[in-house]
Amino acid sequence: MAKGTPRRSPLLLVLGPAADLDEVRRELASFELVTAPSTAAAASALRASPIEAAVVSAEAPTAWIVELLAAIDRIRPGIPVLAVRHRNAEESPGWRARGVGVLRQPLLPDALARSVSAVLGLRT
Amino acid sequence: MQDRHRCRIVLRNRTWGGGRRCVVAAPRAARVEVVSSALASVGFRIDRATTEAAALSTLDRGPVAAAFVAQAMGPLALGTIVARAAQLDPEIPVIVLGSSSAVQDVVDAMQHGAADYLPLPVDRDLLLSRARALLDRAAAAAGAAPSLQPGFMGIVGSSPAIRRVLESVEKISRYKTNVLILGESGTGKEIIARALHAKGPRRQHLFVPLNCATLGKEILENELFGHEKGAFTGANERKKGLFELADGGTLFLDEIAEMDPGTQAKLLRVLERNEFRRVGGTAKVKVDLSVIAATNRNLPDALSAGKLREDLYYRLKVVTIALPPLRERKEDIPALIEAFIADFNRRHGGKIHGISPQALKLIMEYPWPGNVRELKNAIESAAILAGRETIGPEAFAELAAARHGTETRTVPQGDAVLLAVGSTIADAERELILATLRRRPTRAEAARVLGLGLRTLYTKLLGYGAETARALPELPARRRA
Repeated sequence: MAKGTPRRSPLLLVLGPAADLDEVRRELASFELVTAPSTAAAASALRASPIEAAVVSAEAPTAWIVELLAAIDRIRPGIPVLAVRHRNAEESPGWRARGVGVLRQPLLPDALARSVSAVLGLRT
Repeated sequence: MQDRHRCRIVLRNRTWGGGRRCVVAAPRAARVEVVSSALASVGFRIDRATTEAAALSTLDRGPVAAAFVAQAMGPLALGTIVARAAQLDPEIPVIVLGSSSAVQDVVDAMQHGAADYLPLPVDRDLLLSRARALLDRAAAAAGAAPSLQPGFMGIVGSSPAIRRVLESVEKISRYKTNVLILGESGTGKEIIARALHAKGPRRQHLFVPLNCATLGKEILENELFGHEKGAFTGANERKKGLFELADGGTLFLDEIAEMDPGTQAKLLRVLERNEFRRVGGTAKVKVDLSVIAATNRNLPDALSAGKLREDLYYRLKVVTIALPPLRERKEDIPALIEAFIADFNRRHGGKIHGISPQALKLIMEYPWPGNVRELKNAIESAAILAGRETIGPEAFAELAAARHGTETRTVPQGDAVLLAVGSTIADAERELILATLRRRPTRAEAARVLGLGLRTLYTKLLGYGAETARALPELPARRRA
């Protein structure tokens, strides 16, 4: 990094149905985002960009998270995943061990952004 | 690289703590010495707390720059400390000292409102650089104008007392915390509870109100917890209770001190474990909701009388909002009247423009023991009976009478004695005797009308004291006592 060059904000992958992405974009405005409306698009983004963490929106089907985790294992192993889920949505017992953090709705204001910052802070 | 640069700055400036206080809350066994010593090395004063109660009382002792809370304190304690800190100052960052580097632990802490998460053992320089970043951000955010303005959710008024309430609502509503609302009847406890819900993260879910004084123990428990099929005669199918109905949202329990102590114990378990069993059931039902409780009782009295369990009280009182009676925010009365008239016109198609200055004077002089609710009822009654666009003082004649009544207890009107509600039997007797004496030429005649013996009348008058005797000019001086 050149001296005096401002450090770019962390690059995040946001996976979710197109209609669900605006709210996540607003919440994560302080981060650089790559949005993916499908798991195929997410896999492409993982290959193409230095993604540091992935965020899954509340309306993304559970199967998408499973596919995303598989893609991360193949392409960019070890990056954390934060999944916003409905209050009573199912959660795979293996997710926690795979580095998935589940945020259950209703979320506190800024909880997603603070979570991303704190999770990325673990890696400093 | 930037973090290392920041660390060097931190280390060079050894006094940026400036003597400010930091709370470090962790169980006795937790290894947090490095946290305390790192903060002390840059000029912070450290208050160490090993229990939730000690942490809360430390927060209450005065301004705090930041709170560091070990995750080992438990999620309930963390949520409580975050909420109390927010009520004192929403810019106090609460940093969780984590037990692990698991992403889920981080997320859980953030969902309780933490500002950052540092797993133990923590590097000294990393701790200081992150703390400084948070404190710089807090300093930049301090003094921002409150976003919650009078009018929100029907909260009317701009007095200092109501502004303090609005500030509390704004600070507390960011969190999914339980709240205790105190205030006399009619001060608007449910309105404040609804405002907390509407402003907070649970606003997309239900707000479920319940008055605990209106139901007996069994019916109340059935309402709260629901029941399983066959739990009792007539339980033909499973019924979900209000805890399940309010899941994700807010349950408002009004008149909590009227709840049976056994039911209070069950409520406490729900607050502490977020789970309960339906009546007649064995399976645990998990819920995620905020409970807002309210009471108009004097709490020390309710506690000493056993009406309110101490353990429930201490769990609920962590975040408390005390609502002022109307007599302590009289400057809000004109705005309240305007709001009530506008509401009346809207609901009933009325054309009331306002009230006359004389009527306003009467209203301002009245103490309003029934608070805003009483004022609203009085304005609505006056609006209904008003024959013109401006409500005159005649619509509030009873207020003048009652106000005078609260000072002298009664107001003689011709041959009648008006007694204020709340008068004692002794007050009533006294006023009847004095009013009769004023209207009869002699005491003997008054005693006859009252059905008393003359000696008994004298005894009573002596009991009323010299001031009363002076108020009866027809009494001979030698008989005044």
